[in-house]
Amino acid sequence: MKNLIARFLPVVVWAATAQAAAPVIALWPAGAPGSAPRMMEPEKIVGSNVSNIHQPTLTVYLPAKDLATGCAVIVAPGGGHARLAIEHEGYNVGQWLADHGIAAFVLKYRLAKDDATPAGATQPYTIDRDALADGQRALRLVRSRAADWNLNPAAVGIIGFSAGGEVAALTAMRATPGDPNAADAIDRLSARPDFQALIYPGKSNLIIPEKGAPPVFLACGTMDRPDISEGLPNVYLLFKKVGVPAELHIYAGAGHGFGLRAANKSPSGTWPDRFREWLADRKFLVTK
Amino acid sequence: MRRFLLLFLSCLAGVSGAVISIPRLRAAAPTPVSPFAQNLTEGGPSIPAAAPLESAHPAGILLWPEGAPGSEARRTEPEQISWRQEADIVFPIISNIHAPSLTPFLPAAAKATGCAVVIAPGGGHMQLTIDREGYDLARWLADRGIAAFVLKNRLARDTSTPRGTLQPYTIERDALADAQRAIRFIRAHAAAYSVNPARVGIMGFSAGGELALLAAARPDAGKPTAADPVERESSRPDFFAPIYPGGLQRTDLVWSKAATPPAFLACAYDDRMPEQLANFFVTLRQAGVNAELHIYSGGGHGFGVRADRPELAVSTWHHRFVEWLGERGFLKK
Repeated sequence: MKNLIARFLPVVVWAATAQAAAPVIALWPAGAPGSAPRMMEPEKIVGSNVSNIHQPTLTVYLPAKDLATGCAVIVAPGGGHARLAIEHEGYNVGQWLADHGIAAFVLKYRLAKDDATPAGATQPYTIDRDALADGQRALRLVRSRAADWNLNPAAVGIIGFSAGGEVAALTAMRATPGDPNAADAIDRLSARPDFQALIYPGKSNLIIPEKGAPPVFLACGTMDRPDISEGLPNVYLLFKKVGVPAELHIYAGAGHGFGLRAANKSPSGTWPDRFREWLADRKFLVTK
Repeated sequence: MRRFLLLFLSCLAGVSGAVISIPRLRAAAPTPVSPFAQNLTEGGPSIPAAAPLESAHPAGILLWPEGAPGSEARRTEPEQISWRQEADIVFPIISNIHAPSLTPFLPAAAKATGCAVVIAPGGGHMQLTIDREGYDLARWLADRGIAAFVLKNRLARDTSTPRGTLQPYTIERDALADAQRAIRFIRAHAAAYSVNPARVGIMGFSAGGELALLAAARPDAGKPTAADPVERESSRPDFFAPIYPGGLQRTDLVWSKAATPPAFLACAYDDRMPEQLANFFVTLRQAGVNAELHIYSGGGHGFGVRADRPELAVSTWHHRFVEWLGERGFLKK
C-alpha cells in the first residue's frame, strides 16, 4: 500500500501543475532492458526536477484533430543526466507543440548521473547505452502508434535540451534501422529520427554528423558557456560541411537553460515559433 | 538649380508623374529632394509595363548638398534605374550614384522610439537593390517606431560606368565615407528627426553589409572643430546588422569589447557565406562583443524583406531584428 501511494505520488504532483491530463506510457511495460528489478521504484521529484528514473516513459501530448499536422516530436529534457528539468524543458514544450498541431512525447530517460543514486554507489546507467536506448525506443514506439495517433511515421523527430540534446544528437548519429527479426514488434521499426532539434546541447564537441544525417535545428544563447555558444556555430559548420540542412538561432540575451517559460518575454522565448516555422519549411507539417 | 526648381514647380502643380511621395518631416529637418527626380533615365532589359515608379522613388536628402568629396563634378548626373525580374517578382535597381543620399522614413510621433537605422542596400557594389533591401524594410521599420534612412552610396563597381572606363570610387574610401556621413548626418539632425543620437545603427545587405561591417570596425569620433556641424558627430554606429554580408573574408577588421557595438547577424544556409557568418559570430563572441545570429535553413542570397512568401521562416527575420533591438534596450520610450 505504501508502495502504491509512492507510485502515485508523482501523479498527484503533476495534477498540481496541470499536467495530470497527459497520459503516460512506459517504453517497456515489462521493464526497460536491465531495469526490470527497479521499475517499481518511485521517481524522485524536487520542484520541477525528476530523477531516480528506472521506468523510462513518454508523457503524451496530442493536438486537437483540427490542428493536427501529422508531425511528432520526442522531447528530451536536460538536467546534466543527474535529473530531468521536466517542466520548462519538458511538459511546457509538449503542451506548446500540441497547441500548435504537433504531437509531442516528453521522454523520461534513464540518467547516467542520477542524483538519487547514493553517494559512493555505482551509477547503473550510461548515456551511450541506456539513455540512448530510451531515445531510440521512444522513436520506435511513437512510430508503432502512428495510425492510432494520426501521425505521419516519416515525420517523427526529436528535440533535446542540454543533456537531452546530447541524447537527441545520439539518436541521430547512431540512427538504427528496425530489426526485422525482433520479437517485439516495436523494435522492428526504425529508430532514426526524421529531424533533430538540439537546444543548447551539452558536449557539442561530440556532435559529429555524417552525410545523410537528419536535418537539424540548432538554438542557444550568446551568454551560454563557450562550449555551447561558440560550440554550436561549429556544430552548424559540421552539418553544413556534410550537406545536411541546418538552421541556427543564437539569442543575444540568453544564457543556458531558457527552455520554455511563459515568463520569458525576451526573444529567446520565441524559439518554439522558429522551430515550428522550420518544421514547416522542411515540409514536416501537413496542414489540412 | 534648374533641376530643383523644376521639381518644386512640378510638386506644386501636382503633376509629378515620375515622382514622388515625400516622407513626412518635422520642422527644421532637411527638405528631401530627389537627385534624379526630373532627369531619371530608365534602362535594363525588361521594364515592366506597370512599374511601381512612385513607391520606388521617394525623395532623398543629399548627404553633401554641395557634392560629396571627389564627386562634386558629377553630382548632378541622373541616377539610373533598371528593373530586374526574379521568378515572380520584379524589382528596381539603382546605379550611377554620384550624389549620395538618405531617404528618410519616419515613424508617427506616437510610435517613435528614438531609434534610427541606416539601411545600406546590396547589389555587389554595382547597383542598389533599393526596394526589397531598402524602402520596403524602411516602411516596415517606421511602422514599428524606428526611423529608417535608406542610404544611396557611391558604388565601387557601378554598373553604369562604361566598360573600359576606370571606376571612380572605392568601397573603403567613398562608399564607407557615405555610410559614415549618413550616421553623422542623423546624429546632427537628431532633434529634427526625434531620434536619440545614442541609438543610431546601421544595417546592410550583401555589399551594403560590407559597409555595415566597415562602419562598425572603423568608427571615427568626428572633428569637434569642423566647420560642417555634421562632421563634428561620431560615425560609430550604436549597433550594426550585417545581413548576408559581403566582406567577411576581410582580415583587416578588428573587433573588441571596448570599441565594437552589438551585432545582429542573419543569412541563409543556401547562401555562399553561412560558414563565414557562423565564424564571424564566434570571432565577435571571443572578442567580447555581444551578437545575435540567425541562419535560416532556406532563403538563398538576397531575400531582403519579402512579403510574397510569408510562410517561409526566412521571411520573418526582420521581426527578429526588432525583437533584438527591443531586448538591447534601443526601443525603450
